[in-house]
Amino acid sequence: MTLAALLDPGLLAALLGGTFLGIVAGAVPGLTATLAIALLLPVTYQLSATNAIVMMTGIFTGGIYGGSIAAITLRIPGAPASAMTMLDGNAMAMKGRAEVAIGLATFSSFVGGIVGGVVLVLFAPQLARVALTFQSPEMFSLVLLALVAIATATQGSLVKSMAATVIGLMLSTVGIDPLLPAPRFTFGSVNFLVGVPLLPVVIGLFAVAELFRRVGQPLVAPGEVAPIRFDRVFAFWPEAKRVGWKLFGKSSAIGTLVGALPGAGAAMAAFLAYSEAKRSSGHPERFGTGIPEGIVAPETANNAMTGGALIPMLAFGIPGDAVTAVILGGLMIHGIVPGPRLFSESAELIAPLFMAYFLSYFVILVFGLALLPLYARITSVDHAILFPLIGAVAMVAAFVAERTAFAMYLTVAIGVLGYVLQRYGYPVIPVLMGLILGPMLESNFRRALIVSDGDPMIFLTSPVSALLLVVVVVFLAYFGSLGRRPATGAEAS
Amino acid sequence: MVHRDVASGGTLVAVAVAYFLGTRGMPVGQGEPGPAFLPVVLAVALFVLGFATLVGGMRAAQTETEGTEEGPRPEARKAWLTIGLTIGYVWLFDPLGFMLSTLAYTFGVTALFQRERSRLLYVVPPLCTLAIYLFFRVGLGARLPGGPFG
Repeated sequence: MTLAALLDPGLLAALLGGTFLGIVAGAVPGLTATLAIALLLPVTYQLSATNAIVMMTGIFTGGIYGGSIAAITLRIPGAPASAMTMLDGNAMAMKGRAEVAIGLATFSSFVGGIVGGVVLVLFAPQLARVALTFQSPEMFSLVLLALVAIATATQGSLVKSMAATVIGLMLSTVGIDPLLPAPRFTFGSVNFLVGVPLLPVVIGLFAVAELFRRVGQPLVAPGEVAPIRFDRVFAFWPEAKRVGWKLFGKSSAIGTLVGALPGAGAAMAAFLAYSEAKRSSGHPERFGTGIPEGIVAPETANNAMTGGALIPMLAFGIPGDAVTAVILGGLMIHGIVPGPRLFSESAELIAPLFMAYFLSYFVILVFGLALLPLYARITSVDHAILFPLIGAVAMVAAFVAERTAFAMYLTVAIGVLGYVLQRYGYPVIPVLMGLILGPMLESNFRRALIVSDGDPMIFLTSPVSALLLVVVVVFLAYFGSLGRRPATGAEAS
Repeated sequence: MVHRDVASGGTLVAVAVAYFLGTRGMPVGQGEPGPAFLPVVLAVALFVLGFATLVGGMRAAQTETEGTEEGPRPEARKAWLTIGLTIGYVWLFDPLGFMLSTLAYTFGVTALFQRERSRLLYVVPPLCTLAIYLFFRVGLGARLPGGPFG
């Protein structure tokens, strides 16, 4: 495939349309890139294989980026991966610097995505081999590190953060045991046999809980609506330069490496990058108050992850998370069969994917910066207009995703849980991460012990696993020694 | 008034005990951890964390002066009203259909958010309903319940 092929109107339309749809899906609270791809998959059947692959790639990359817009402007992450961006992004927006926050998120997404893509193209087979060395002990230790990292990275009481993580892990135990056909906490209901579905939890914890939280806040008169200022499009640039390329590079590396690990996902990449940025910062106490580093780290990482996640997906057919799982299904429908020989024998199908991947990030940069002043205006919209829409969209999205009223009731219940947790000072991001990472944590732990005949030393005899566990201890000791951290967000209100 | 950490910590302890009791009957596993392993570990962890929060709350309550008794704050009342509205919306979503139930729900939520009655109350609900319909039904091709009108 050559650059001249981009002149094909059909391909260009698929690229632009897919990326734009992905951004919208990621940005609308209640929707996610996963749902968008699942709903738009039948549309791709009408397209040629090349155009379908280009469109799905655009939805994937656009969706990961789009989640940051709602996270920054509404404090509702459009995707789990944007939950960390929400902390500093929304805090910065509330200080009247929404253009800077969105600009930083857009630029960071671009940098991370391009770096991830370069690694994908140059090192996919080698990284795939490294990823294969991560067996159950290493994966368990990595997941444990991610959970500890998120519990220590969120503001407020460490005890409450850990309790929230445990609550998320408890939700993940609902359903059929991952290794044996034994039901757990299903209460005899078929609805719980498949476990707690992720989408209603994301919608409930953030969109619905945020609706309950905002309606309960004291009414304030709206401030003057800021005019749309296109001269502020590049207002983020001085902050990006001040942050420095070291943070961009480190976060890109974390995102790409985590993305290359089968089953890891964008959320883990964002959390680890944020935690590492905070740990290595000269002022960790300022994270969560609206500093640029708190936006750059997670957004660079979760977009670098998109390149890394394509490696195990294409090399082994192992998706990194729900989004890549749906994409994998779509790619297989259009004739791409994952495997080691894919890169050598099916280059004519892989080339459009790689090209679309890189180009989608240029589209994201242009769309993102061009529409930045409009996004920033979202913070000025009257809540009486915004939140009825958000509430209804969230509930309809839950219904559309799962096609059952049970999903809607579950969304409300999780929304109530999220609202109550935040009222009492418990963060909700660890709940989400516990739900997402719980199955990986448990299955890898038990598989490791099965392999070692019950000997727990397997976690220490593996050098990588031992190193990761040491880092866990370091995180706990370091953040535990910081004592009570300043509250922010719901706690502060 | 009970300090909020005492209330939340006590609740976590109760949840941990209930969750632990829910592991009865689960296979424990022989040699290697079984399905009950992680739930038991989590129940113990939540018990410990909840107890720590409870104790911290009791200590904090001892250092705070007694305040006058208050009822639920107006802000919390509105939140619970919204919760009730949302549950009602879900309950009526299928029997009433998307259009009617969404109109009613957005009307109620708009009213709760407004500082004083304005034309928004009559403009926002139909516009929201139409926008959501266009997005999901027309844009994404998703099927929505029609209710009594099909």
